[in-house]
Amino acid sequence: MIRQVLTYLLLVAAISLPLMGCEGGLEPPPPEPEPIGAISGTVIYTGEWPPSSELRELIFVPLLFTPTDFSQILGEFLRGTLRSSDRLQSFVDSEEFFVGELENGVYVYNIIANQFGPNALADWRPLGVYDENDGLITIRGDTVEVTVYVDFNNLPPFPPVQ
Amino acid sequence: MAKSALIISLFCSFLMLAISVSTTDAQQNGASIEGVVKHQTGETLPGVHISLPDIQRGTSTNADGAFRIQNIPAGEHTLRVSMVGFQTHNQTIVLEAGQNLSLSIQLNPITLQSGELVVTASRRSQLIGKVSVSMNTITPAEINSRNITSLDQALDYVPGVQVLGNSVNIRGSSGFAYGVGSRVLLLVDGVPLMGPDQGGMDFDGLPLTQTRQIEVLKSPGSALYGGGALGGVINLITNDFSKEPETTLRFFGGVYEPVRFDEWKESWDGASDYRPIRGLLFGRSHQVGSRFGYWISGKLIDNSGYLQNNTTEGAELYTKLGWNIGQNIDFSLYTGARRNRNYQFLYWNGLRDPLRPGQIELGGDSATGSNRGLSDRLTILPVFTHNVNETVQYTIKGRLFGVAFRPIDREGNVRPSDRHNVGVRYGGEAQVNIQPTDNFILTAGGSFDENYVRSDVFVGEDSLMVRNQPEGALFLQGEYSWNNRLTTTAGFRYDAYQIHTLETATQFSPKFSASLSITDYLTARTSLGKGFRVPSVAERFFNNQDFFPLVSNLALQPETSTGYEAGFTYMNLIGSNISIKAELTGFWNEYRRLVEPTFIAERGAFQFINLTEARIRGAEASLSFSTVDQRHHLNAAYTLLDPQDLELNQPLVYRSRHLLQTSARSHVRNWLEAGIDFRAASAPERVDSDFSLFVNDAEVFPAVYVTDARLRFMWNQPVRGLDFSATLIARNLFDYYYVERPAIFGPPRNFQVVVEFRF
Repeated sequence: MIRQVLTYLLLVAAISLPLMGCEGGLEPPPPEPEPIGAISGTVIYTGEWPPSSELRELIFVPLLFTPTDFSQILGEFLRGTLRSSDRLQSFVDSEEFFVGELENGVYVYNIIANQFGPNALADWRPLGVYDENDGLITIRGDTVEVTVYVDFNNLPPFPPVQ
Repeated sequence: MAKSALIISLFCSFLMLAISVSTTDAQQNGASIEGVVKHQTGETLPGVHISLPDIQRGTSTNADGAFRIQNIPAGEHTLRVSMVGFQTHNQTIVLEAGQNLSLSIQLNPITLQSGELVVTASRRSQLIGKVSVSMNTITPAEINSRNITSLDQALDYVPGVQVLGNSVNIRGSSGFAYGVGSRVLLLVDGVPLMGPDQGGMDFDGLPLTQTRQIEVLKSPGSALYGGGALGGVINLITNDFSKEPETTLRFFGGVYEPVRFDEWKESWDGASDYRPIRGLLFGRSHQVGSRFGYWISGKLIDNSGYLQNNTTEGAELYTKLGWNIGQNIDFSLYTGARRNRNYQFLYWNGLRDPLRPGQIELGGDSATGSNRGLSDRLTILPVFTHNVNETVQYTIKGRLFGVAFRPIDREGNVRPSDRHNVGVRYGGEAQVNIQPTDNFILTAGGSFDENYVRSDVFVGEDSLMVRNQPEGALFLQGEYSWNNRLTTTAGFRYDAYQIHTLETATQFSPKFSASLSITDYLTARTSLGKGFRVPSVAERFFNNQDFFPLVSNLALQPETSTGYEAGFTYMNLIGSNISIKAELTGFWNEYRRLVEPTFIAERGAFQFINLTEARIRGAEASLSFSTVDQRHHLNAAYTLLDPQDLELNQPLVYRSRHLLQTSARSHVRNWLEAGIDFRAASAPERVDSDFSLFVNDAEVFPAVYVTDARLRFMWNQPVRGLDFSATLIARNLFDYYYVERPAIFGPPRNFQVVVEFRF
């Protein structure tokens, strides 16, 4: 009796199991990446540093867009959506930095920004632009490591050349 | 127009009658034989070949299994009684001049199927081996063994048939259309029972304990049954009355197993529970004396569902009363009443959260993916039958089918009051079967139906809340047996129906079929038929955003189909103990003006529109083995479909290319039956991307691989007059996850225990 039952079970299982093995059926999609990530980087300086009076602020700023004028960056700052590193040191050859809580996305304009004048809303310039990987930093819930070079003898233009 | 159809009908009737009468043998003196041929179960067998080979005379049994051959020369003759699928019966008879010999002959089937009688293919009783179109039957043994509690569960095991939520798809005829506008016609004892409002099927409302069999016709059937039979016909045949009083009580209870992915359980506590289902089926049948009979069939069900907001509480009661008014005059009255309190799940919240209903934002409004409501159905089917004599029988049937849907709130109150639907379909039909000679049968008749719908949601742009859709039809069919081998059938149906206000449309649906017994074991068959379907009230007038953005289309036209098929059936014995039945069928169906729900960007909503012309061709092969004692069965069927949208030159949406069904059933011991079923459907090559504009992951539609298994313990007569059985059923044994229809998760593994008492 058991043999008969097993025979039937095996017969249908012989058909069903290989077919079921072809595809696993529904399952939850792969987990979405964390909604935020981070950039960990190193800035390397070459050339002669400007006078300390022009080094009122020095930070790394990643942007999801390429600005055509400074007011766009200011807008991000005023909305509270601008993320940046802590203040960087001056007159050093290199330094590591970190920007956390970055929303996922492709950051297309990533700069070492310097406030060179007294007007905190206007007196800003880029000292160096991240230019590896076509200048793009892609955040997908992870921490991306980058290196940014600053050449005080060859500062990048602003607005950037499209 | 109807008048001209009537004239054509009468002319054809007389023409065919004249042809058949002219073939009748002239009366001569001599001996005669007459008799009845019966199945070993006692049922009479129509269409059996009776021959006297030595004098080259022969005939066939009529619908009552009776035959008569006159003017036989006196002397010794060999009588040969044969039928595809039965062991040939040879008998030597000796006749004297003027003698009238009366015989009763029993034929033994070589397979279980060969003795099956079906009625759907020709509107009259036929042996399935004589049917010239593709048909399958579902027997009470299968229904009971699997504890089938609704029609869709039964259809899962029919070759070439798929059930997508509340749509039945026969050989690719239907995709997914939100449960409205079925392209398969549901009949109960030959009477259409399609919802007057949505044109859909009610899977629940059927007397399962009093079902003799369910017949599935797998090709267009409008030539016999009119609108709706575009892709096929499902006919539930109810039981005759039991000679001895018989009562059935079947209790069942079980649980849905929690899904195995934690992520799916996070948003709904119920997903971690074993969700119960329980119910009771009951029935009683009795022929009281010689003139009265009755049966009742009922169901109580409480299903907590495996999805959030997907519960069913229902009660159903069906009765059939029979009265033998006089000699050969019968009257029966079938009634059914059902009430369901449903919380219906409409679409999920995406593949990350498939067990909970979704939510659609519609420009400020929001629609929800579940629907709570009270659904009532009432069915009354009176039937009057008169066998005037051996050759003429007529039947008059009436029908009343009412549906009502009312939304209810969480407390169970009917609310809101402005979202009600009431639909009534009523009408009748008359049919006459005439068998003027042994080899010719004529079937003719007419029907009239009215659909009345009063709805707060099927309002349409004309703002009318009441819809009427009258339909009338005439049909005629002639079946002629040219000899013991070849039978041809031809017929047509002429339908007239009102599609909008005072606009009337007509449809002519011809059919032709032939079956040829090549040998005693092999039959070839071919058929051609047309089908059509008038769009339902819901498809034309639904204008609502409660659950989905949907706008009406008053210009919607009927869809039509033309189906061709040819096939072979082989039935024989392997050795002396195993019977085999093999079928191979090729089919080619063309569809015009298929109605599909489509997103109309400028309306920002879905609308049913006449979208496309399509061609579905394919092949179906089935093979079944059973032991002659019927203790062991093994079946396998494969269907290959090529469903093409001829306008887009792409596959039709929601059609699987490959369907496979296998099953095995065995009486391992007298007290133990084991069964296992497997069904597979490949993933559709194309799905409706419009749906996923609103519902997350609605385009996800994997292949289906479902295995069910059961063990049934039987204990006959533990006390006098009582049969007892207990069945353990595991459905979706391997816990394979699939979608039942777009954006609805299919049932996970679930278990049931069924206890049945018959006394």
